[in-house]
Amino acid sequence: MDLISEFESLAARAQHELQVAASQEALEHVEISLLGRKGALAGLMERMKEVSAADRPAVGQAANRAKQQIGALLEARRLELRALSRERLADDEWIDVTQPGVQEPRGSLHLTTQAVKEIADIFVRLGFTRVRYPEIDFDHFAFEALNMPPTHPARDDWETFFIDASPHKTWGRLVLTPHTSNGQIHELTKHKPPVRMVNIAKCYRRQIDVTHVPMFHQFEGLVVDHGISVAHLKGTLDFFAREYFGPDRRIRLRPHHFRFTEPSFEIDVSCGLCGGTGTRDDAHCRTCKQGWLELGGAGMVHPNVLRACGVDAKKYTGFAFGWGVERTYMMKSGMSIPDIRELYKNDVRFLVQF
Amino acid sequence: MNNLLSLHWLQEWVHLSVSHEELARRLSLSGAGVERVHEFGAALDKIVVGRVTAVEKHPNADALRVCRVDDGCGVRTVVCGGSNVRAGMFVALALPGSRVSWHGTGEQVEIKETELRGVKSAGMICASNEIGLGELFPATEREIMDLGALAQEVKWRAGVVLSDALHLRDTVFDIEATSNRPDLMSVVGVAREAVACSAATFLKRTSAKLPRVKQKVSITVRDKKLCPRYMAARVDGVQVGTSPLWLRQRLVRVGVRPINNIVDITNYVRIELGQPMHAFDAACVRGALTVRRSRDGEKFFALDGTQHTLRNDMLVIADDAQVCALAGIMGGAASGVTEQTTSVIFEAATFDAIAVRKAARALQLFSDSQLLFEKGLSVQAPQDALARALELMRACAGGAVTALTDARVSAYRAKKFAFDFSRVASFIGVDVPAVRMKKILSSMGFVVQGSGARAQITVPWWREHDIGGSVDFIEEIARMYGYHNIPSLVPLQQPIGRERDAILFGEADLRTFFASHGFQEAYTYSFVNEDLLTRANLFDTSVVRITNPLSSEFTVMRPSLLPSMLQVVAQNEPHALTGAVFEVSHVYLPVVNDRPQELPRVIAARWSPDASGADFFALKGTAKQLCDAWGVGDAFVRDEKKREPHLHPSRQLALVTRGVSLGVLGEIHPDILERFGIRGRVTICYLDVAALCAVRMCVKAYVPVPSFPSVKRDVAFVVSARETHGALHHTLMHAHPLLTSAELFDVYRGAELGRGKKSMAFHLEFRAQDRTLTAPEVDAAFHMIVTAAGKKHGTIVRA
Repeated sequence: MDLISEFESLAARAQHELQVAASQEALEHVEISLLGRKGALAGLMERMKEVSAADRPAVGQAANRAKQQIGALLEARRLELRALSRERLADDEWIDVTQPGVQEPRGSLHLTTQAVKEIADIFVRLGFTRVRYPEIDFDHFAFEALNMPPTHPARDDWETFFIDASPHKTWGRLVLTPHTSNGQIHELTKHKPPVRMVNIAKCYRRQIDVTHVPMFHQFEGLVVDHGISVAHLKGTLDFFAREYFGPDRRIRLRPHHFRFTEPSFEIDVSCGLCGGTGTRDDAHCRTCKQGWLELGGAGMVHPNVLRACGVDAKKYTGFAFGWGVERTYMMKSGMSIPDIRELYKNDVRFLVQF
Repeated sequence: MNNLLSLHWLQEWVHLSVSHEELARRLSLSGAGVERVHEFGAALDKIVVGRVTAVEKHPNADALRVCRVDDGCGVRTVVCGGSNVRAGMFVALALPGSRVSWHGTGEQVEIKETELRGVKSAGMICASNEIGLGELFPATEREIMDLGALAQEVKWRAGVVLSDALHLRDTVFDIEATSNRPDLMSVVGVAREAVACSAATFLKRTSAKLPRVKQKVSITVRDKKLCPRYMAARVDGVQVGTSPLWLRQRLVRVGVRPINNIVDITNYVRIELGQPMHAFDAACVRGALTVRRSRDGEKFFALDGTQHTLRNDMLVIADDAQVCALAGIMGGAASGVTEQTTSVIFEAATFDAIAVRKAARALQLFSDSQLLFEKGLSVQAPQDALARALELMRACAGGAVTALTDARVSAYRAKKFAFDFSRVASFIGVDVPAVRMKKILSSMGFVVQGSGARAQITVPWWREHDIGGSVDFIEEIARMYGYHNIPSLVPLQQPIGRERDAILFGEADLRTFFASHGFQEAYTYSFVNEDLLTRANLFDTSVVRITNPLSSEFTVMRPSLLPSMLQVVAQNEPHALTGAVFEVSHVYLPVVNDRPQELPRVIAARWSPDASGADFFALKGTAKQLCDAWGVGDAFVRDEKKREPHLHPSRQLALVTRGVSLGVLGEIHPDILERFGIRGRVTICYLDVAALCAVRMCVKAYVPVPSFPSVKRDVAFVVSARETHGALHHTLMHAHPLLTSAELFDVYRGAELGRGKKSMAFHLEFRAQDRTLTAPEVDAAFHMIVTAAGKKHGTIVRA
């Protein structure tokens, strides 16, 4: 057989062999046997030397034709095999996706931390600076400068914790602060107005039962500047309530009484369960009082407080509020933890839920 | 403080111009928060007046009767167990569908047509306590209500709904008054408020006048500071008995139990006018009454049956023999009014608020009077109260006033303040016309004098304690103008350039870090006790103590987070064999520069029964990640000379960076674990947050990404079992500059290595900054490293 027909038969053989190759690996094997350095095509090319010069162009053309044919066949078969393997992909690589995932150990942030973060973020957006002042503080900061004289009930032994230390000459006894309002005095003593702070800290009161823990957290806001009015207090707390509880919630101010603010308010937020109507399923809503939930106290900073901190009460006015972190959080989530002490028992089965 | 207000009673003072709901809303918004609205008598809707027409014996039960009862529409058969039931009697008939509580106790049940021992019964004849009227008509054992006898003033007719027949229906507000407004804890106080918020107008009333009596009740006030006014009236020839039905109804509707006409009158006056009163049995008072401070150790037997030993600073009313009353708190048992009483001395006085509060707290003796007095009452209040009481006396108990005393320090002078109306607008954020402001104030009893912006305002006597200056007038104007009418504005003015608190932000980051590394966050109390500290070897006498702890569990401010954390572990271990918890909180150290120190700490703990030290390495890995994240570098220092005694002697490390001590990492000493009842092992990492924040690198240095590939080789060294990774790694890293990292990936102990030997396998990585390394270069470096390790540590390369 002459070389030309051998090239032609090689192409025919390639067609057959490629058709038989059933995998990418087999295909590669065939490719090497045909087109490799020591493959069949190379073997035939080697024999080109023996061909006479006159026949060489024709043989050369046959060689090229064979090479191209083989290349095209190879590519076609490669695509065919690829398509086949994609068709089988689902079967070949089946896994049981309903098996559980491999989990990293999951940690959690305490409810109080989550609440503090959420609350702080809202006030930071209004340009408040987050601060923290001492938990163990003098009478002066915790009471006296807040317009709470020694006869005030909060200063009784059965309300507030006292520290065993000799009293300071000018600032009095050391107490565990029962509110974050001591932060108002520190802030105004240290910083000249304008002041916009939110003080979030631990507070202590001599109470422990299902609704009280002796250690809890409060957030205290204080704004003092020229021309601050009740309207600003209302706007700020309205903003907070909508951001924190949701845009459909409303607040209302009810007159109240605190020594260090005048006027003082109780801030109520509309009940999320009865929608502020006070009735659910034709009965009294058990969660709220006539459609409203008490959030906490607020008021315009008492001029005596400003004066006690060396701020000119004729030039500056301000407002303040101090609310319980835990209580506010419970009200938001609608979470009913029957015993608030659970929060600080640290059972991991409780902690891991949040 | 909450009190109940009867609208029926209120309407004796005012004409309401709005609905009950609107009144509740206006009162709430202006200050007297109406927390609940009760419909009194609504529960008695299906209880009617019945007339018993016939009574027969029950065929199958001796204790029961079969009654024929006229219900107004017809006659029905009702089986009744009341021993006093007889024909002709008017009774309370509970129709099927009504709710009663059997024998006055337990859950309410619905009445149904039923069969009792073989006889059909269509309803129930009730005793007073079965339908909630036990206070109005005290129940007698096994007896049903004989309405005709109980309330002779009522014209009884069968079929009338009982609530209507007895005029029981009323709307009762549960009002929360703030501590500065005791005047709101009375009917007249709420009436004034209702008028001020335009919900009502006052009715014309002729107020009671005190009679003119020459004779004086013998009273000496020794402490005029604590008792600025004491009024007393003696009434002789009184008849003690049950109060008339209308008076009892009023009391019952606001939750006060009727006792007898004299006591009921004192309660009635207190509720109506907000001035507490007391009545002594004049026959039981020996000699003259004296208002004085108690003597130390003096005994007092209170009306409620309790006994008290007084201290020497409590205000009492005493006769020549004993203490007759604890001023403003409670009367004494010996001089209380009884059925035998014929002469009474009524007291209407003003006592010092703080003295009343302190005595009540010290003795744990509380009463409705004390709750009012401790808020501060006016010296102007007693005269109206006494006059009203005497007026009611004439109507309800008879007798004649024979003596009257008014002991007071000085004539009353109303408080006056100057006020500038032009300040209001900028303070409340809205411009209220001056006329409106003045009208608001005068509607509440303030007298405004002066025509311009500046005025003089006289405070009504019932507000003398809570009004202290001009901001109070602003409040009165604002609350009556309506806080809901004030606009909402956000105070966005010039920015406040304050540096953020690095520690606060550090704490927040630490919390996120540990929570995202699988730790649960705990919050434990800041106070512990000495025992807990002793168990953790942490007790020191200089610890910060609480003078008045709530319990023996919480007596000192904790100097460390460790004991609380060990408590958390001990408490969780029974149901969680392994776990990881952390806490970020303050510790409290002794006074420096006047104040105890409050220092921020973070503690992370892992626990498990595994004693191999695996938790140590797990926590060390977490700590290393923290150090890397915060740019602190490798801070672990093993210092055999400076061991923490509360940690395992060989499983502890200090964390120090740039000369700053950050804290410790280690396993808790088994002795301490034992004392906390912990069975497994606990590893902790305890860090000083302030120190950590001080060395934290928030901005990190840039290192170019390598442009040439590295070459990796693995090698295993056989070394003595006590060889440390720290030392060997140090040698490797300093043996050749081309070595960029040596990462331990396996530690192996096996018999084939020989006794006291272990194998430590490393991934070595070689790299040059300026070229691709050639094989011979790496071979040479590798050789140098192996040689250096062999020389320094006697290592053999494991084949």
